Amino acid sequence: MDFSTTPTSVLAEKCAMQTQNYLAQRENDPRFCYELLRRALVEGASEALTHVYQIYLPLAGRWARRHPSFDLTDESAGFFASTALGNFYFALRGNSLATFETLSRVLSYLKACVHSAIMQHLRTHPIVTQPLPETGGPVAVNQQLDKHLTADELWSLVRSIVTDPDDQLLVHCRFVLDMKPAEIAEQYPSRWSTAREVSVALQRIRRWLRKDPMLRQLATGEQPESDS
Amino acid sequence: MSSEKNQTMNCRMPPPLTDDQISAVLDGEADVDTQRHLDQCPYCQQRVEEARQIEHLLEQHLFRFTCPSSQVLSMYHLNLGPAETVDAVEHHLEQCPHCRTELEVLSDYLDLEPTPSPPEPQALKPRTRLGDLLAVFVSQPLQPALRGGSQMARPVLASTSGDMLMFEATGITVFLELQAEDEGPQLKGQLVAEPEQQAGWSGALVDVWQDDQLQIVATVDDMGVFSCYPLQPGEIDLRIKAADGSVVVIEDIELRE
Ligand SMILES: [Zn+2]
Ligand SMILES: [Zn+2]
Repeated sequence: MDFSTTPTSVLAEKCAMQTQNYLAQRENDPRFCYELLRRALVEGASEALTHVYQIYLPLAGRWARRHPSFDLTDESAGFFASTALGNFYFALRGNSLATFETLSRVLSYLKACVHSAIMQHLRTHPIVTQPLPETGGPVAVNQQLDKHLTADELWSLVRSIVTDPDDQLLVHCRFVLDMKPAEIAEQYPSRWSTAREVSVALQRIRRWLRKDPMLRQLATGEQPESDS
Repeated sequence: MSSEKNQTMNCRMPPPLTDDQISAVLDGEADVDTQRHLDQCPYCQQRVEEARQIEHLLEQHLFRFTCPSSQVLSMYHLNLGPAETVDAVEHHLEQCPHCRTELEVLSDYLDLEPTPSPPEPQALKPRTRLGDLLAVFVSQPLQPALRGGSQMARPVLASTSGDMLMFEATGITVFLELQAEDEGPQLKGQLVAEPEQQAGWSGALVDVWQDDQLQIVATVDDMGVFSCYPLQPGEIDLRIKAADGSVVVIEDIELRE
């Protein structure tokens, strides 16, 4: 079909209808949506982009509300819908859409963008659901130093304190992946045969980390004690 | 060693807690004796606290810092990612339970039956968030007397006056003007960032909201220029979003014919 003279508003109307057909699991013709998306993503045409948003933002919002982790977030469905459509646009702009054989596949990708927006948000804004341990109140990391420290810098420091490769793997499992000793032993049976062995090695490593003056300073904000 | 002497001197119930006992406290596995010691000894309480701060620092900064973004994982799941990332993602998945879980959740979520959409009951306009750059009205560049005035005027754009308004956020200036066109006013704008940041705004998305309804989505070109058309007279909010997630927000601009 030649769409070269079809006004964007007509494409949008038909695309909205075909999207409803798809969602109602009726037969659908994806060509109108493809052309609308092509104008939006490849040409960056504002009119097409506006229609894409008007058709798919409400759908993405509804998908966000149905996501199993949505209730764990402190954000609105609109925020995740907008983030998802933004990422959808940034990932596909200039793309020929040739990788999407069906409308179902395009919409699966948009739905995956909604999922990603929620999961990524939860990585950086975890909601605390468990009370803090009884000993000690909320932990105050030295905020001023904290702001400027990147994960890569901290990891380099840790690796300069813990130099053995097996020990580094343990620190990685414990602090990067938050694995329990039993999980570590299960994943690396050739290095540690039991959870107990992992625990003993981790005790030793945690002792070293605790003694490191630089790490102490970063964590507590206190100047290292001089030995004099 | 002097520090050991200090510990003995300061601990109320010597010998002081050992490092392993401190770890047990942090893990919530302290025995009754250790707990009793801790309850009565401020010195050892402080040692536990310091140890907790160090581990908290490590947990906060390092947790999942090597994980691919959720977006990359989703692309991988749908076979849409660039071929060169596939090996790296697969290698990561072998060792990372969190990313494996994310993909399991995604797989179940995609399998949910599609449903036809009833009218959306809630407004979908994202609220302005901490971290968004709120661009404030500075002046009309041709009337510098307004700048720094104690009573800042409300930003009003009229298509008849030909005025250009200027808004500023950290490191970013946005110029806006309104032109009369057949179907309604056309909002023309330009975003100017620090030279090294300007390229990051090329291709950014501009959305215009009116009464919490999305009116127009447009894109920013290589020069930072964008155009939103057609609009209706009234109050609008403008959000400009770059690919790296940076957002500039301009609120409450009044458009007049
Ligand atoms: Zn003590
Ligand atoms: Zn991971």
